[in-house]
Amino acid sequence: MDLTQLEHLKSDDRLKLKALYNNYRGAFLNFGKSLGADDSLILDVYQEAFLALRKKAIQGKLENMQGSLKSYLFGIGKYMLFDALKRESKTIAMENPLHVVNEAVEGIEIEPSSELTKEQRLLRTFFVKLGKKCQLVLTLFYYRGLTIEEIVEQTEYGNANTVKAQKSRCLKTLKQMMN
Amino acid sequence: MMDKDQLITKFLTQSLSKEEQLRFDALLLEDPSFKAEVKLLEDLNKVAEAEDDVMAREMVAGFEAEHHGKKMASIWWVAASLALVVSITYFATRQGAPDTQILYTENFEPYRNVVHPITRTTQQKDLKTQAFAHYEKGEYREALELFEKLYETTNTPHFLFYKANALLQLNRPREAIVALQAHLKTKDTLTQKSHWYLAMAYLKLDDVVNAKKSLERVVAQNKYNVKKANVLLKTLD
Repeated sequence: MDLTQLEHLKSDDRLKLKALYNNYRGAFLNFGKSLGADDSLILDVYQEAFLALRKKAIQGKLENMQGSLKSYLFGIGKYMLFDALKRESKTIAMENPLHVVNEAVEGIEIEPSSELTKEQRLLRTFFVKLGKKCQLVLTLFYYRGLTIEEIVEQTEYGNANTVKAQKSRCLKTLKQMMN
Repeated sequence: MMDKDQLITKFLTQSLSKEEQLRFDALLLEDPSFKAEVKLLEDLNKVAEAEDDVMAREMVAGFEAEHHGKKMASIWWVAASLALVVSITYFATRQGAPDTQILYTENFEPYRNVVHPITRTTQQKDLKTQAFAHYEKGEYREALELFEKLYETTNTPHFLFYKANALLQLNRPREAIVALQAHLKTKDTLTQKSHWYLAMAYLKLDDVVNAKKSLERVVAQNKYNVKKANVLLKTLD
């Protein structure tokens, strides 16, 4: 897998993400049409597949993956499209020649995220109240798994000590809010 | 030995070694405060994921909305193509001069909404929510009208900043400059970004002298888009 593409996918850089999104959009539209789906469904699915792919990348599940980012994206998209078409009861016959055309792309199933528990929903309200700066540092450190040094590189914080101080302060405030 | 915080961080990123996992499991049994900390950070991880999902979903919806905006604007393509031929001819005659319009396109991106997050759960439909919802969907004409109203009624400086961004997106750089200069006279968290957008507006107007002045201020402030400003300054020299 192309590591630069993977980095762009994980980043918050809107322009880089948009470039990736637009890069495969046209090809996915054609791909979806060949399966008999209409444009609006294909584009809905493309957005979902792109989001699922980004999440996989953030969670570090694509690093050792064989094959290209595109094939993985299309694999997720194919599974979602089949699922959506099935729900719309547009059954796709196995002998459908269009299906054969796309045999090269293997469908990949994505498990949906679990719902937040009651406690987590409460924590979320406090998390939002922390403000954008705290949310960013905590998200980068705990969810994205970035090191302090990587956070310095990706944000406008000047050095590691500032990031560390900010992280501790935010966590402390969060704990105070909960008590 | 690794401290407890590091142990929890490694647990969250699923990177504990076998030995660390044993110590982690033991602490979980023996130390109630450790257990509580793990629970909190696991929950925080999940909450951050949920918030990140919302942010990413809005961003991707924005990318898609831009395509539909482009479709609507397709009738202008003929006119735009003609303008492009004229400008290519113009720039071709100015050997070595950087193409400010290309630099503008490569560097300008409307600043994201950081002051009023629109989430699927946002129920209130007040003016501010409507304004930022339009802005995030790329409906800059509607957003501009509301930002103007909001600034008139509240005098909150960040509306000037977003108004300028909408104006730039609507290809009205002169008015954007006026708004940004007014914004620079105030002090809010976004004013450090105004010099960058001022540079973008001057680039759009092909005013290299003022674009460079603004970029030099971006560099001097050393806060926002410093690397990009340095690259642009080199290109413009």
